[in-house]
Amino acid sequence: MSSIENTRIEYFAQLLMDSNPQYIFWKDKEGVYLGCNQKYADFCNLENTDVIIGTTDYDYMDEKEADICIDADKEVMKKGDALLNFEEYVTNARGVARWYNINKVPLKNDNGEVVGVLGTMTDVSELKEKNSIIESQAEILKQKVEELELKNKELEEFAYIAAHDLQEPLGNISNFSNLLKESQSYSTEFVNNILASSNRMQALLKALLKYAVVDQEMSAMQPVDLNSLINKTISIIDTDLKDVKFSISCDQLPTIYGYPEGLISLFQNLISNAIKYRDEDKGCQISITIAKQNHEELVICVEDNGIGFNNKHNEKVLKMFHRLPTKNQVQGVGVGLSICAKIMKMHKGKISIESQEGIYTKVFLSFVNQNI
Amino acid sequence: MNVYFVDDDYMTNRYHEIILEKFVFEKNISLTFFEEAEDALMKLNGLNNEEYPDYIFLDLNMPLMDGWEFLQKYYEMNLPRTKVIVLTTSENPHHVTRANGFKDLVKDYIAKPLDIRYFKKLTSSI
Repeated sequence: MSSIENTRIEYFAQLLMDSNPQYIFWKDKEGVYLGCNQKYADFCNLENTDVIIGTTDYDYMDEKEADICIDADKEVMKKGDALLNFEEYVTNARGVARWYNINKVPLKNDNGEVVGVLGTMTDVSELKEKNSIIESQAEILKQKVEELELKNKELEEFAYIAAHDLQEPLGNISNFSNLLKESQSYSTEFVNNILASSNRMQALLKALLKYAVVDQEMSAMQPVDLNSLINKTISIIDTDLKDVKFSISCDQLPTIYGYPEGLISLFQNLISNAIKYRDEDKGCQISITIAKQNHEELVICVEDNGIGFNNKHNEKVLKMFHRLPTKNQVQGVGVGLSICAKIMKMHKGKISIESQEGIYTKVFLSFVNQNI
Repeated sequence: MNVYFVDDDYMTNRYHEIILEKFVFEKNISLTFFEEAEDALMKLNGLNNEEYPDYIFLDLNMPLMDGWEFLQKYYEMNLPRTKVIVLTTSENPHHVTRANGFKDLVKDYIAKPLDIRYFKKLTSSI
């Protein structure tokens, strides 16, 4: 090959390297630079590609980063195999750190002996950033899907329970209407049963609607002084319960971040329940206390001294339409506590209940502590 | 012949009592109604063979002890086998499968309200 041809090939190679978006360099066995493209010269903050010849990584990086580069070079040269597609966070000679995809290939002479290493680097910072955005969005999406699946399941369960419990009074209405059509003998009883079932159906639907809209038309979350909220709640307790004598004691409660209408409805339901399920032989006493307060949660306990229930049913009573029979036939359809559970969920809190028959019922409202 | 009905809803029991009244009087069938499943189990536990019900119509959705618990306890108490007919508003296919799991006890799964023709056919097949 003539020296003119050699020069042309060298020129052509340099042109090819300089027009390449990658960073290209090569070193000898001792890690001393033999050359690079313009892009890599810029990376090392050098005016042109010739200046790099005879220098090492220690001239452009801090010792730790240079050690990593040299170790990688040595590994490639020792094994004689290329090291491909590894990502490193590298600080250039101007002090700018970015992510690079790096390939290192051993350079061999005509005898196949390793004489150096050729490196190429691609800036993958933007790609990585985009990937991490995609990943975090995928994570958000996954969470949303999970939330939706849960909500859907709850909705299905809700629709099932609602449909089931609404069928019962409707069934009775049609059963007794049919009997009425056929017979005269029990007509008063049949009509009474039909009316009672219609009333029950109405009460169920009313409660169902109340449950469905509890999270709608609510004002924004705001700081709520629980003591004054409870005082306000007591003043609006159902008129038919107002004639019952009851006493409420209340701890000094904190201000929490919440939905005022929801919290009023929550305490209204709980206080009404305490009054409804009172023990006639004892005076109705309700106490609202702080059961637990630490940096994670605030647990408020609403306790009454009423008829209570067998503690084995404490999971059931929170379910929609679930009512336990009582001796003196307390009016209700079993939605109050479901509404409370829904309100607590809106506050990212939890509700639990425990009772001892004839002694007490305690409802625990666990809020995430917000430190207001 | 003895037939039990276990259903927490008073009106449903009353309805069944009224529609069956004439037929059971003619055929000398005795009907017993329970609003609480636990009461029915307690009653069954103290019976001798000839008093034992030939059929039990069982509701599933009840507030204290539900129909499933009743069936489970029935096995646990090792009571003499009888024929249970699940009578419910629930047409959930999972419930049908689950009820069929109690195979030597549950004989049928039917929807409310009870059809008197079903009852007549059932009680005359013995």
